[in-house]
Amino acid sequence: MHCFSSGCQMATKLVQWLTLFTLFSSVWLSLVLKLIPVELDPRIMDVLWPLPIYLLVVFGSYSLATIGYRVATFNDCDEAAESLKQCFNKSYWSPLFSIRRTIQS
Amino acid sequence: MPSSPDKYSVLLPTYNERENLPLIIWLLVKHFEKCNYNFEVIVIDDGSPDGTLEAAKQLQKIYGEDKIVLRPRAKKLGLGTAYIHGIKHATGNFIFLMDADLSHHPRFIPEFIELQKKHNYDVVSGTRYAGGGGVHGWDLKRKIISRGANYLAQILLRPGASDLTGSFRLYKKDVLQKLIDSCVSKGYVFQMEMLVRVRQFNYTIGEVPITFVDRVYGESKLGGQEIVSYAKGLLTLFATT
Repeated sequence: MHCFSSGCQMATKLVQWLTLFTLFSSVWLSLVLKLIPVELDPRIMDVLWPLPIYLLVVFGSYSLATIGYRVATFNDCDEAAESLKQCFNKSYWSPLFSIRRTIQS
Repeated sequence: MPSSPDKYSVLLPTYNERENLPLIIWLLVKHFEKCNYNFEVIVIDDGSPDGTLEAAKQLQKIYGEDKIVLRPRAKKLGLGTAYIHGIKHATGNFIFLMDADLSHHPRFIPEFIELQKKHNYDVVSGTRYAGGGGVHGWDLKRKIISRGANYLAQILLRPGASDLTGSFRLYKKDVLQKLIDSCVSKGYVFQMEMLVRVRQFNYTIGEVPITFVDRVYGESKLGGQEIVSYAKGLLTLFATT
């Protein structure tokens, strides 16, 4: 949130993502480059190093699976198209019928 | 006697819709009158060479000038300006935006209205992607592009609505006015921007699954040009909202 004298405004999506990215990078870098004097189990360090790549791959796979699923379950509205065609064929809506209606009313 | 003091104005921008106009007007009248809602249809014709305006005038004689309002323009201008033009002449307190080529079916109108009344939503959006919604006339390639583009938009913009590029919607009139005044994009990015700004202004939004019968896809394939302009619009919204 930026706060001006006129009031507070939500940060843009870009700023939100950049903030998240900066936060994650700084934590990851400082741990991986041992900038913080913290003793970590070597097994955790083994996982930490390639973590960004792992996350990208997981996200990529999830995205492909989600899009694939949504394409596969995309409803095909054949009945809607068919009933629209029928509507055009029927005569009760045509101008002829409408003119008859105005004569009656 | 109408059952409530609400009045619904349907903004119908038309260009070469002489064949479809009588049927869509008939369907609109049928579905509004069936539930006793007060309504008007504002036809915004952009100087169609096929005689759409003449057809509209004949329909006006049949249904009445209070029900069929004509607000034509001299030539083909954008959709956004058509809405701006139409809303100025709308006497209803609610506005329906929809396509005039029968890709949107008026039979969903009572569902929109009932959902809006139930939760007092500021906006009700028709969705092709959720619930029983769907599309007719799209091949696999079109479906993949559509789902992929929508997924990307969901990740980047988190709009709180499943269908960003749809154009079958119901708005409270003052809400629509405010949204139009604050939007800067053109084309269907404009539809996306309106929905994104709904979240930005903290308006409430509901969704109705609709069927979209694409009748122009056969003539106008989705080209690289459109995809590029979609990506540009998406990134602009990402950086500015």
